[in-house]
Amino acid sequence: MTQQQLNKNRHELRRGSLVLAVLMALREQAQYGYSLRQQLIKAGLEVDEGTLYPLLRRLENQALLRSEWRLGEPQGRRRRYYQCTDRGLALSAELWQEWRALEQVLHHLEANK
Amino acid sequence: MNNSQSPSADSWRERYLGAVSRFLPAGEQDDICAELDDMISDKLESQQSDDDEQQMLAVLDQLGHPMRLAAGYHQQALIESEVIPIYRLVLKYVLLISLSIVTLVSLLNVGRTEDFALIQFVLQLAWVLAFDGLVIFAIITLIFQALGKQQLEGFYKNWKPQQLPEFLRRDNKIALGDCIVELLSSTFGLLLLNGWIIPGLLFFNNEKAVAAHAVPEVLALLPWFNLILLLSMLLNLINIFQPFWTRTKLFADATLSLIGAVLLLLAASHSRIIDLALPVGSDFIELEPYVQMFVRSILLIFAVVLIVFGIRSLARALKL
Repeated sequence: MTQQQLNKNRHELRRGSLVLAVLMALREQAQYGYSLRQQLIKAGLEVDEGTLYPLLRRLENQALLRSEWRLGEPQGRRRRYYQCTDRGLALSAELWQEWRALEQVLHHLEANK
Repeated sequence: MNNSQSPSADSWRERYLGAVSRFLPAGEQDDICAELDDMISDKLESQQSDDDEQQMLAVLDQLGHPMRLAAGYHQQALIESEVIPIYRLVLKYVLLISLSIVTLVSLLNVGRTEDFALIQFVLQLAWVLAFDGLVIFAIITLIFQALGKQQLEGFYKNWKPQQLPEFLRRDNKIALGDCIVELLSSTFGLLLLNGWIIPGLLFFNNEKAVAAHAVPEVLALLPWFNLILLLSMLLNLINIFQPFWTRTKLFADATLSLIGAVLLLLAASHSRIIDLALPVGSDFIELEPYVQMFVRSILLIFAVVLIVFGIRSLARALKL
């Protein structure tokens, strides 16, 4: 296996889980793009702006997120805040169940190798 | 926009956002750019540096090629979203060049046709443009489907923010619709002045059409009007390909507007502007001075509009 193959597969694996991560991060509290990215990085999920910002728009177009421009702290600049809709919350719960099931499958396969 | 940055740092930011907005989905450019603008400010605030300009260039370098950033905002359809900005750019250029050539050839052929019919010509041209447009669209789409995003990796990777030219600034942007309207207006003016649409202006006298032609003194200005209109068409064609003002383009635009205004004023300065082909003893002859006054007023209105446009472009060029 080459480094390039590893990077490509790792990238795809993380990209697949990004929707769930974003929905989970926006369940409780509205956040703007930059603060959300910082939260994801702090949690260990590195994501570039070119992926995260368009994803937020797509999720909003699918009515999974809602957004509004409002004054943010501490600089008092207008920022676009995103938060989960009811539909987004429902999807996040479903995907989380799916994730757990997948995790069990992988654990099972790892234990039987 | 963060106003605490130095002018040069702000200029780089404006160029970058201008470049990104060119490739964003129509109707969403302003909103997405406002969000990206805000994100750049956040990134800058998180990095403390004494050199605003270098800090800005470093942030833009992290964000990567404007086309790549804009690509994420496109929905994947026939083409992978990563390829869509460059696909749309190529499609636009090829369509404009090919369809302009087709239109030009058709217009040149009009001069050779003995029994020219406007409606038939317009319908034939529309059919040819639609057919050729579809063929070009299919060929370019197939090529880009075969290409895939891997082919563009090198193109995106080698990009540096220092390559962003000044004219990409968002406030220099020219709306595509404006270019097309001006191009069509110049083309229509050219066809009208040369009698390709209607052979001379028409006035109606008791349901009988009376042809009116320019007097020889005004007719002598026709080659100059044609030249200005052709140059204006050329400038608008260039603006469609490069929808951003540069100082040279603004000076050219101002010059064309002001020369056009001078020509209109020269035409309006003659005591008689048009000759009406009136039968001897016609009642309509009493109205002739009013017709001259009407035509003169139209010419003066156009001249004033062109002077305003010319001065506006000149002021903008000097400010740039």
